[in-house]
Amino acid sequence: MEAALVATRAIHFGASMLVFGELLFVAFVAGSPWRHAAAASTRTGGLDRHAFVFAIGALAASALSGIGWVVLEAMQMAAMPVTEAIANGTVVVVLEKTEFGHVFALRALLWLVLTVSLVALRAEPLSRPRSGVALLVAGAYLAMLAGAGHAAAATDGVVRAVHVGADALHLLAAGGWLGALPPLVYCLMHAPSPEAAARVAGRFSVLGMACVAALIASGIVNSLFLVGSFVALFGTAYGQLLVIKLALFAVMLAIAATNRLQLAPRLAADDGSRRLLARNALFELVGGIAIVAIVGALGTMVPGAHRSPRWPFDFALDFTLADLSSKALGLGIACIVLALAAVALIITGMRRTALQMSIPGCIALVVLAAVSTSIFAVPAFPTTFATSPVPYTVDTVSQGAASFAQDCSGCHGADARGNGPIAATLSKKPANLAEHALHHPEGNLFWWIAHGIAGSPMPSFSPQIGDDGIWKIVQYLVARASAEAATSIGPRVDTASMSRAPDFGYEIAGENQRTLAGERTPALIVLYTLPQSDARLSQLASDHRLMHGKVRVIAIPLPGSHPFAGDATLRAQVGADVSKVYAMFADASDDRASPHAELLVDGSGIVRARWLGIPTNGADRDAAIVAAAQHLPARSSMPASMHHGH
Amino acid sequence: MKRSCAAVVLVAAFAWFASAPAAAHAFLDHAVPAVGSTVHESPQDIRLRFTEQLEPAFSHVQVADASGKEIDKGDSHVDASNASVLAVSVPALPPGKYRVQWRVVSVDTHVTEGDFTFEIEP
Repeated sequence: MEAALVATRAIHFGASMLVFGELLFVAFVAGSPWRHAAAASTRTGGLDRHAFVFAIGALAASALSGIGWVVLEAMQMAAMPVTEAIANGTVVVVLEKTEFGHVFALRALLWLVLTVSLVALRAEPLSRPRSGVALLVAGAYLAMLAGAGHAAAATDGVVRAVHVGADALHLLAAGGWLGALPPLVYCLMHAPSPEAAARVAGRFSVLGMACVAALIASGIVNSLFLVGSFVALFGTAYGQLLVIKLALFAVMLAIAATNRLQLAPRLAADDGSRRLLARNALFELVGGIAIVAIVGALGTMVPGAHRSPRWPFDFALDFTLADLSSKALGLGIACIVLALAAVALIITGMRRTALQMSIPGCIALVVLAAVSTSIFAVPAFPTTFATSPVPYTVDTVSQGAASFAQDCSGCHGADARGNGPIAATLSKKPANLAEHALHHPEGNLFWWIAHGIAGSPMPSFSPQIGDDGIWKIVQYLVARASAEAATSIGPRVDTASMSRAPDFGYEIAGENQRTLAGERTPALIVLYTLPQSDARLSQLASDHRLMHGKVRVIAIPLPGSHPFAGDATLRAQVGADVSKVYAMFADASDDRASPHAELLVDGSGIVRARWLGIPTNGADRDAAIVAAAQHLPARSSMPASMHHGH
Repeated sequence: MKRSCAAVVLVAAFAWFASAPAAAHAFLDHAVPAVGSTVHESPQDIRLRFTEQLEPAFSHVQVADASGKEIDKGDSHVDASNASVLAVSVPALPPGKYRVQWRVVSVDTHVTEGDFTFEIEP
């Protein structure tokens, strides 16, 4: 069924592109030069009839594959066999109720308009206004496919508009290039004179270049949305298929460049180059068909940006300049100087058309690029860019903490500071994870725990501890290091904070359960000890400024404290582990536990500000909290350097 | 030329930063009650937020008790104000373990499904 869907999609994309490209060629490329040449010669081109038959054939293929696509989607959406999907009206529900169905219903209408207008135009000679109208309809018919793809599902309106627009442009440009190739071949083979062939080829190359430029620009926008990062390009199946697609595109570009630079100028004089050009155009078409087949598959896959990538190389690049040694910096500067010299050599060679200068220049440039890239190379593992399958919650953190206490604390210490009881006996000092964990990708921490570190006493824990168990230890380390990082966060909003608050659920009487991360709004987590904190909690409950400032207040008793008995809004019920895990976040920088702490956590779960102790003037602190909440960064990103000095 | 270069950089930069909430298959982003959590009061409804907009006609969620019997009110629906939220109401539930099963179609036609449990403790 998946294979049928891929094939149907590919045929539908291809056929819809052919219709558009064909009409574009007829209207703007073959147009007047063809007519003049045909009138002046006894050999009539007959492109009209040829173009008509071809367009109708492509339209028929497009209709059949389109119907097949809708039926297959209905089967998949409702999880039922084909007979049932048709018999019980699921196909109709798809057309009536889903966005995909709306797009296809509208396109069916356009298909009808297009077919009728082509039949009406059949007897007419080629004319730009008439075929122009058909062209517009064919363009809309093709471009609307963007409304049925990945782009259309974005939750953000602006993202959706930009992505759908880029997708539509991509489809039109691909159709303009690929769809124009069959009639181009026809024109080249049946041209009434070498001059007519040359003129058609010349005009086609303008169209081709415009399409290539549009393809590249829109392709970059699309891949940024869907692949997300360079990592996903190599680390996921979607990305790898995209790399193959790009390679095919590069080959097609090379053929097109040969046509444009070598064959086209000789067309008028040399009949052999006409045949070569036609043959090359057929090669381009084959490449195009392969690309469309890949597109058929890509649309059914999970895009790279949504999958945990598996990194295929044993190194990755880290462009954090601060981490570069002075030796590497010197090498980098030398590379830049030599690269400039190589570019000068290439340009001089091109000017004098002396290949013996340009080619060594190019080779030098490639070598220099590799050398300079190696400066930024750091060791990487298959899981380096993996995202944890285990969520970052109080539950997973406390389970990870239990494993850590049992298997890791002997060397790394109870607080993960690298000072366990047997640390002194080891050949190499265990890492202070409380300090370092946030500075390494989580995927590397996972790999080191699972497989150990060669040349150090760090053993491997896989398979004694399962993958999920190891990820839980990683989550504990993130929480431990986040608590450590929180000790240097004060009342001023820390825009560079890396301290992440683990998610947890809480219940206020009479309301549904809520979670810290689920609401995506700022929260003030008050860690308290009774009786000292009693007055502060009562004052918080009566101060409505926080509520008006859209800051949720979640009060959590520190271990050993009674729960607050006052205002109901501050009597949130939380699991026992929440107190234990969050107690880490109440430590002062000298490691002394504070009996009262308040954390301002932004909508992405990052600790942005922290107040220790009970304020002498609670109202002043509330004003400061509200002010800080107004200045939280809009979007949080988690920068993680690939490596750093030890 | 300079201006068009700047435009290209701007578009690329925008696309880069906007790439986080990108589209595709709908995955469960967040649920209330939270996945695997324990609550002390019966929820009025079960709400699931996905990473994408859903097709209401083909997106469903149901809740079963420990014996596997469906106990929700059968009104599984996509939230009218937020097309990426799927919800179903439940009657006042006695303490126990409950399983939430969902199957959704995102607006780009992809099907995803899954399940999770939550517990009600007295």
